[in-house]
Amino acid sequence: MKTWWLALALFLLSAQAVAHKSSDAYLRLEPRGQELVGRLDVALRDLALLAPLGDGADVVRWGDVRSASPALLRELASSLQLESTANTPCSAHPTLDGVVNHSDGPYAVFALRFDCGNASPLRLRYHLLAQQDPDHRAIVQLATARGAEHHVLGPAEPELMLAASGDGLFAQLWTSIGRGFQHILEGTDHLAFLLVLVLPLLVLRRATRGWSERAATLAGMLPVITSFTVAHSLTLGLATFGLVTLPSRLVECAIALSVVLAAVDNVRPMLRAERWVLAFGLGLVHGFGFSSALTDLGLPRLALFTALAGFNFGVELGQLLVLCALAPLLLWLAEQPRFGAPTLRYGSLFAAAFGAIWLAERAFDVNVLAR
Amino acid sequence: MIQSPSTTPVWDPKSGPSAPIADDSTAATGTLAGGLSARWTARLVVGGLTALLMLVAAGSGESGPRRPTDDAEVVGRLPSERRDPRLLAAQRAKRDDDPRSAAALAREHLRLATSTGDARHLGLAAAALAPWSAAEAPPIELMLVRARLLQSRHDFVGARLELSRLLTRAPREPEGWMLRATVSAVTADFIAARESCRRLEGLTLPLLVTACISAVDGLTGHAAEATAELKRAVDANAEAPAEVRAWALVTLAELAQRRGQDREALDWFRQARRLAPHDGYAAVGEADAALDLGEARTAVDALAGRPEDDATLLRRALAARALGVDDGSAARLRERLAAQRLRGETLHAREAARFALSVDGDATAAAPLAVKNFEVQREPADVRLLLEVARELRDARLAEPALRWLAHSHCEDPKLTALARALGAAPVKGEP
Repeated sequence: MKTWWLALALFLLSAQAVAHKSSDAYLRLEPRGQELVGRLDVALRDLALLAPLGDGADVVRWGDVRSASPALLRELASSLQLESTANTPCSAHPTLDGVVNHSDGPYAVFALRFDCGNASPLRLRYHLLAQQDPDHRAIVQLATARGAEHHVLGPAEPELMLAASGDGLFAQLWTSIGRGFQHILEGTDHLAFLLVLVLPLLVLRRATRGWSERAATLAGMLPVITSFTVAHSLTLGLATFGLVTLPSRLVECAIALSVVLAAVDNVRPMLRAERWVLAFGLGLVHGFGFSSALTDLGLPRLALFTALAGFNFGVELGQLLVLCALAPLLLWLAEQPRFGAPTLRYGSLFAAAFGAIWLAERAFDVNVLAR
Repeated sequence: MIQSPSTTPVWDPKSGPSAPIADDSTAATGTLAGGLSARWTARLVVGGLTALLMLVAAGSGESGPRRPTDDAEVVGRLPSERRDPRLLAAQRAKRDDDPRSAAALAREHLRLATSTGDARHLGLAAAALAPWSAAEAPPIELMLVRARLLQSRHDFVGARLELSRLLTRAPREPEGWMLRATVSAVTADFIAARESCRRLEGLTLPLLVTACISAVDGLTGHAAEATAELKRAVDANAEAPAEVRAWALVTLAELAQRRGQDREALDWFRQARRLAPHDGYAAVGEADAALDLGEARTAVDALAGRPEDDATLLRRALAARALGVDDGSAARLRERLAAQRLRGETLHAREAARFALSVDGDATAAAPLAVKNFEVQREPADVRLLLEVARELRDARLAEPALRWLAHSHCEDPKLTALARALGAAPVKGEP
């Protein structure tokens, strides 16, 4: 009888990794004032270890989850605890919120709300399923003003210290401005689009070369820049708050396309619209592009306002800086009798070519321009 | 294509840039008054807003939990092995004061972990053993299961430790010696591996002893002799249980691979799979051999009906890639590897590295995974992986641990030695 076992053992021992996933729960938390809100996703099959789910059959119905929920919520309240600075437990208010699918099957979703009274929450303790499955882990995503933090909690490390809210409003704003500034300076496609839009305004002017003339030319850029700003702020806001979500590849392709369209229009006019209208319509697309830089940070909703405002301001600052740096050069070029027209034509064609390459790269997921 | 004269400045190729094309003040403020452009403006704005609203509508229904309205709605399915009769019996028999019953339950979970490919059973096995983790002298059964659990989690050092304690107390425990042989071979301790096999003599079936020794001989440069010996033993032990024979055939298959006989290896794997149809190792081995031979279709067939463990998914993804189709395996495995990465685990480094190298074609991403994997396990598959990554990156230094393994083991596997040569290492010759 022993040999039978042995044979079985041998197969196991061929060191073949078993797979699927071990048990994970996904915990998302976000401070809101003295409260901590969030959600916890636990696999149905893990919940079946805590309370009977269904009556012996394999099929789990929503009603089974609901009727097990009082026991499950009690278990949750005792195994997911939050303490305030004074070591007093914050009261927990978990509720059953629905179901969702993760890579390894269906999970039940619990909405969480911890009320810590006047104290700020400090220490999180997690020991759900620790008895039933020591391999169980909570994958924690904690929203902080600086961005999302990721942690893994399990029997070996059941505690998480939540940092105090830390940075003040001003510091948060300052960080966000820096982020926006950096983003626009690195965003060649956004800058290319803007330049293509203002290029005709700079280059095509009366032949007079007085200072008032130059000032008027520069002022002529304002409506274009303003409408681009308004448009991308609008979509940036919508996307950041999750009101609109678009696949990033689509957005990136559309941004590249906008460069091509605006550039070709400079050479062969086909979009019968004002510069500022163009700037607005196509600017809407660029806002979605900006938003990825912000949403990827996983900020709490409250901090998002500050972040959004700062980020947007940083973007405007960056684009103005670039225009201010380039405008004198372009003005000078345009005033050279032989350079004005070629500047517009070849500048636009150059931008169109880049836009086309970006579009191809993004649409077909290839790398033409080495990075 | 007609542009109203008072609108946007347009460069006219004939008149050139100095021609007064637009009035600056009009251009600056835009011409809402201009008939054509005003209409276009309106259209653009209305169109844009409509598109935006549609996007809002489409976007709002996306992520987040779904709350069924009907209690009768099926929201999921629990794994059916939960009702496995042997598991249920072990659960019923388990008593809190009886370590043997805990070991029996853990053993059932380990069995299910292999047969279903579900890592959750490893956790459940650990839970059954947990109350006895500090016991002074736990029963031998419990120590055996614990060693097996450690081995399943790739804690080979921990498993060796547990086994040496166990074998001191029970020197005639065949499963213990067998485990020690395997764990030693995986960590390239061939002397301990061969010694463990020798200690099996007289304790278990002769075929198992021969297979054990042959497997070690195959790794250390004696694949031809080992093959002859094992073939004789297989023929002489026709009455041995199917599982034991299947294991011997799998060993023959691997010996064939060491000798560079991929076709022969495929046949042995296939015969083993027929003898033990539920054994994943034979099926995955057959799929690998088929992929080496460029027969992706055969690989797919070998894996038909297998549970979706990482090893199976990886081979399916490789076969699909070779066939130029997309069966979704790559996406599923990618998602799973990402989830495992979140846990911070390295248990799946072998699969993750091979996935990065051969499915994604990203040797740079595969390199740290292959290195980390080689720190833990050193079977020919791991050696090959590291060598292949190093060859892709033309980085002989990266392959150093694998080259050392080759020199130390004297393994004559032609695939491995060819890779080593390609990296500029001297071919390995001589006795161990």
